[in-house]
Amino acid sequence: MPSVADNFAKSKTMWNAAKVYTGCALPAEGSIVTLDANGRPDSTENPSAVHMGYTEKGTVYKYKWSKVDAMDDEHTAPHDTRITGEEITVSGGWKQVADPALLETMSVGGTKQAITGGNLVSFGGKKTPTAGTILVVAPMKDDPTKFIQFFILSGYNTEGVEITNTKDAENSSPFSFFALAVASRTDGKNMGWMFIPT
Amino acid sequence: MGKTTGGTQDVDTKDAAIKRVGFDDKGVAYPGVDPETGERKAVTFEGLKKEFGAKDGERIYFEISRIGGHGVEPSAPIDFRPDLSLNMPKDKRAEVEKVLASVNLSPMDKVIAEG
Repeated sequence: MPSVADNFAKSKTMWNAAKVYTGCALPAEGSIVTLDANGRPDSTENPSAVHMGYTEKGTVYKYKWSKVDAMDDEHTAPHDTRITGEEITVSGGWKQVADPALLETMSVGGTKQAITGGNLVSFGGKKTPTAGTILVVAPMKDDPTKFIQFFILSGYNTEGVEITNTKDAENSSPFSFFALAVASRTDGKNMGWMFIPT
Repeated sequence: MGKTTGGTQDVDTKDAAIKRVGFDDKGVAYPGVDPETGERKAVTFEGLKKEFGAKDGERIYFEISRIGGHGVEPSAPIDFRPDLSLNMPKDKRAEVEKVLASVNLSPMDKVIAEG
């Protein structure tokens, strides 16, 4: 009797630190971000991309969906189900809170302005969040010359900024990039993607 | 730069008529244009408006988005105008080059380019 082969390959698990970039160019449908040999985005192809700096304990890329079940009186389990909601987030803690450009991006409601002696990041009065692309690049576990990409087509940080000033620890501010749908892209592909190299 | 870990490859843009675009009067490359090779790898909303004028720049931006399937339409929220990567299949990239060249060439260049 033929049997199903065990399906486990260590190379298909993940165990590496990742880097997060904001402001990458939006890839064409079916394409990904071009990276150099170290996993950094091509700066010509991504003229506005910014590395978010180091994270506190890595990043979590999450896709989840919600549903509505159709029930009937004759059964105890649903006889039909529809997906009614989808959510992609990239979350973690970011460290570089004294970087004015990052502070403007991560706070969402902030506006950066160069003034004499430094940079002013002001808050208050913005009505709509500015969304942009989010890229997470993680080297493959057994081949660090290849990189897995996690991508949000359009998202913004819902956590704002939270800065603790203390002698006891270096600051880390939580972040959670929340994906919006780019509605005119193909259904099933309009929020983000994960690319796994072969 | 330039190693692609998957997806599609850029096309070669050696056409003389195309190679002249992408730089301002002072020879500075617009965002997304490789200053050494002149290869255009991306476009930005503001960069196209500077290069081609507000009206044509905006039109080209949305035309490229349509060709590449980026999905940014004029009806999208006004603050969602991300840079658009031109890393796309060759046939689509050729369409993009045609759109760019149609605006940028002088009338005489257009006659020459179109044969």
